[in-house]
Amino acid sequence: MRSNGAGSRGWWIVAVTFAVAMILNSVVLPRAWNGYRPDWLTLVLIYWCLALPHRFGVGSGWLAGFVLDLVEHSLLGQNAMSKAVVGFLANRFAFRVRMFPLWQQSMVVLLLLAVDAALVGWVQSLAGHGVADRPWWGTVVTGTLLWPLLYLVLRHSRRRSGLQ
Amino acid sequence: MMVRRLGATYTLILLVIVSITVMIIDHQSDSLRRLRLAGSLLVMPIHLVAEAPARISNWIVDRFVQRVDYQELYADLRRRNLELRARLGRLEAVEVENQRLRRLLSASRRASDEVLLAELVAVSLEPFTQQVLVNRGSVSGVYEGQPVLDPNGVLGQVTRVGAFRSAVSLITDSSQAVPVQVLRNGLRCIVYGTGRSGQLTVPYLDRNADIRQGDMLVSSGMGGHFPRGYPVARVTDVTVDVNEPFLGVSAAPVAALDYGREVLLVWPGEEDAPAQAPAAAQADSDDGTLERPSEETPAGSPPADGAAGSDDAQ
Repeated sequence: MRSNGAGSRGWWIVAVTFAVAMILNSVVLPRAWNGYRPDWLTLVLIYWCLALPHRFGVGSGWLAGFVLDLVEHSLLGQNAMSKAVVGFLANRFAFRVRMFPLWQQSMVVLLLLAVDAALVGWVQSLAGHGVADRPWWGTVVTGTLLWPLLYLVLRHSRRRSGLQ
Repeated sequence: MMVRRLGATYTLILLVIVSITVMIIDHQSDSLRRLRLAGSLLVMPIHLVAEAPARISNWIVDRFVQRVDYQELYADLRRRNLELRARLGRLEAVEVENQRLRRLLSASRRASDEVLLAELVAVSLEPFTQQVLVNRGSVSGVYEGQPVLDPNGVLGQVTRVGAFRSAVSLITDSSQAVPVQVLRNGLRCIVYGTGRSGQLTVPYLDRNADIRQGDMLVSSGMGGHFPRGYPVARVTDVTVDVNEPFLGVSAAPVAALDYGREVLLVWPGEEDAPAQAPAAAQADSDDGTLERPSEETPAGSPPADGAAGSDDAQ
């Protein structure tokens, strides 16, 4: 996450995308849709880890997750841990995944989202929030379906901002 | 390149250990309260933006869609207010009488509860848990574990406190349990959340326990957490399975959950200790006084009610 002269002028776009993702994560939906809300923050995190792997990874994942814990009033550290793992994985496979066509990329995203959902669900059940109201994979599926569109939008805005 | 990757692996391990430590501390104690307060200020803008759409649509609905006839509304509220005041007058007389009788029995007296009006904020919290946000925080004196009611009954309790906002766990969350008694006969039991919205369960009731579909369950005040005597749930279904040692009882909460609705944060009134009750009998008489709707004398005969779910009421 170091910024060195040349690329530092577009950093606002990173802040804006993360903030918008957090807002979208906490906007109220009709109750029936709640289980299918895509996890915007994880998607945005994955994007930045793939696009700029030399800047985004474990640390930024952890930080984003920690702020999300504060936003969602959840157990502190729960999202921080899962997002750190997601950030790590996305960062590690970034150079390979970036070569993939979009639909293959989506499969990797599906996997990452599933890892995230599993970790969060595991912590929640340990903390006593046992039975869930809705299928845990709902958010994973919608997130995956959304990925191609989100990827194109984010790539466009990154290029416009001149961030490398 | 290799060094970088190893670095990332070590960072991951370190951060995972840090996260687990933080989670355990946060789960076991409230020593992270200050951090949470500071954090709540930091994320306030995000919540404000997130609730804006609901706020705006409410405003539009109020202004343009739902054309309220204020004359009629005023007349209606006025009528209702008169009605309630008349009833309150009678209740006040009953309360004074109740206090006097309790003093005669040297049973514990109960101050009335303090309440503060709060509003449900349209912000979605942790997915897969039954939580809502209210627009009061530590600035208004909200504390962790505080009971939250709505006009119909018990809604839940405050589980995380921010500076201006607090998260309330609904009684339907699977981490929640409320001690209750059946209004009809005083039978004591505990209502557990199931994690599914609108569904509660009452486990560990003997098969011969006197509980029926439609019974109202009111908070019993046992455990000292929730104030006594507020409606909690209504029994929706009682199933008897001969293979099971206990009844299968499910219930639905009476509190309604709509965003933009008012809820009440309660500071329960202190229970005075009984004046000169013998020390040995004290525990029993404390139990007895909680027996609001029952026929037993509160302090006299020690009630045989130790175990929840016994059929002591018959």
